[in-house]
Amino acid sequence: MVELVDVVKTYKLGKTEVWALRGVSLKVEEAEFITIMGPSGSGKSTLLHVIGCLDKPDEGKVYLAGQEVSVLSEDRLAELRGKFVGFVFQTFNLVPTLSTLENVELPMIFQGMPRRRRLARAEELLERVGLGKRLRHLPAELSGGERQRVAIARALVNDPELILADEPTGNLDSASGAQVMGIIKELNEQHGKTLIVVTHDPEVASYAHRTIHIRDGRILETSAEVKA
Amino acid sequence: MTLDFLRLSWRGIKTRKARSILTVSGIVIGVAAVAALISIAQGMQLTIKREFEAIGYDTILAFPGQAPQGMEGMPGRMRPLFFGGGREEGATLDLGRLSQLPQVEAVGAIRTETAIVTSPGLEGQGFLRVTGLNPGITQSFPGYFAGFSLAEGRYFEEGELFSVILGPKVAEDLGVSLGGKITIENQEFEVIGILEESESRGMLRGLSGDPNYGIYLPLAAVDSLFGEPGKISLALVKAAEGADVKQTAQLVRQAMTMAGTPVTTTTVQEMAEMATRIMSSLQTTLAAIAAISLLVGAIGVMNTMYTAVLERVREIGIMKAVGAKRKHILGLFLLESGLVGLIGGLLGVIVGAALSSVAGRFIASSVTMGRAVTGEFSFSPVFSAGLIIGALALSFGLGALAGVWPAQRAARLNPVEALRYE
Repeated sequence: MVELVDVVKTYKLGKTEVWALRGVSLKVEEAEFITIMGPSGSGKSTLLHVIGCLDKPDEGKVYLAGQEVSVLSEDRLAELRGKFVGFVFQTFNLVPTLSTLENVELPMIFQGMPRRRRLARAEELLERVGLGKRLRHLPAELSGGERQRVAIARALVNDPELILADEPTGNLDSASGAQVMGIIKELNEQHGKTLIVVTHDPEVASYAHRTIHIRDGRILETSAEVKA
Repeated sequence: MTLDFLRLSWRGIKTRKARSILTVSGIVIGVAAVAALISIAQGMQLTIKREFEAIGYDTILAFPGQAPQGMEGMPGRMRPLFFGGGREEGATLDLGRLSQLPQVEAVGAIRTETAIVTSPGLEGQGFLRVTGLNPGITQSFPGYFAGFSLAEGRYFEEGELFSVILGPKVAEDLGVSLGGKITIENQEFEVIGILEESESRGMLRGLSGDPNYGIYLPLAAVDSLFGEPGKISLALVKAAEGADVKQTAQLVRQAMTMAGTPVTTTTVQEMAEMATRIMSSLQTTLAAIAAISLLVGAIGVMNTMYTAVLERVREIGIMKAVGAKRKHILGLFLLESGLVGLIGGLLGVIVGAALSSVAGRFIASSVTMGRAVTGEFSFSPVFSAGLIIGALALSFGLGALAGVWPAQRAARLNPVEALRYE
């Protein structure tokens, strides 16, 4: 499903070059649930962005479902992000001026889906994450847990194969965090979605099949826990 | 999809209400100024066209004397036309030669002199302008003599000599009525007709002076009072139907030159063309000046859109993360700035229409006050559908254009950096 070969990514911060990824190779199977752990600045978010086609590697290759994506144009990447990948962020990243329903509708607008189908799909997904009665609310009127559930609904609208989550519980209290992780786990177990979750919370990591540890842009080890 | 984008763009405008209102105001002022000026200019053009049409495009004016080489049709020569009545000085012309031309349908002669006028109702004496007309001129050139209709009495008859037709105002001043007598240069005249008070006398129909104050005599009477029979101030020539007016004017000049009394001619068509040229260059100049304010408005839109992009960098990042392509972001912001322009244009057209109607009324009334020069004339600004559609299209286009640079910046943002933006 996902394969990275010797991926290198550097950033320029002022005049200094920051090595975010220094040759990362990784393989994630279909319907696998992995977590990526590491201290802040270790490159784990960058890794997630590269996998999710938000960023292009400087060197190395990235394959999604067998297709090399590191050579694609920016618009093709945008298309892939819309159809193939669903993102869930630590800070939710909802559009503050749009209602719950509209936020979930947004990715479908860019896919050119007709309004009636969009509304039906968005309502169905919001119902599924328990927000069927919050359709007209603005993000500011929702709790953190609710906002993250909106973000999950949004990530699912185009029925992506791959769900990427960057510290999905980082801004939530433990009860909301557990609820959110419950939904995420269900996606993997019941719907067969491939899940890659960045976290530094061992609690979150305990949900995964496999955890990758990263430090200074390099993968240190892989701890596999085979779950029943 | 377009509808969704429109909704999203509208949301963007609504969320920064105060700034949007201010930005829109800038466009409103610009569009209102341009639209008002154009509508006034178009109204003017229409008025001028109407005036000339009323005189008739087949009419040629011939003045005694030769214009300097190459000065034909110059405004300087037109001054006596616009400032009411032919020239005081004239020359003897053999107009019989003109009537013989097959291209000429009718010839009229006007001789203007200044005479000592006394009347029973007037203390002392008046030094007034009298106009001699050949009989039938008012029938042959009805457009030129618009407003020259009788309230009472009759027109001159062939062979009539010491009869006078008075304008209503001058009749009042002289204290005479129909059938009364006045004395011009020691000769008694009977008042055989009094004109109707003329209210809407065309700007250019003022060529013959204000009829309200006119003292009209048969041409022969003026000749007998002042001597020099055949002397005229202005000859009117009507081209025959189907004859080329310009060519006829040339024939008139040639004929009179051959007779040793050269004339200068102006055709109504030439005058109309010149007036139209002057109006359209005036219109272009004014519109260009007004366009500057529109440009300032557009820069305002650009500024607002640029700020809007900066404020929404994160939102742009989110949209990109969920699958928005460059063209989507570009379209969204272009639509938003175009919408700002369009709203401004819509309000601007309304304000402009109000402005031009007020200004139009002011122009009409101020020109009317200066009636002694130009005469009363009817004027109203023209607010055509073309102008409205043009103004709306222009304002939308200008708004969108002003948004190109900010929208491109938005579209080019790197999604990761945009998401990280605080």
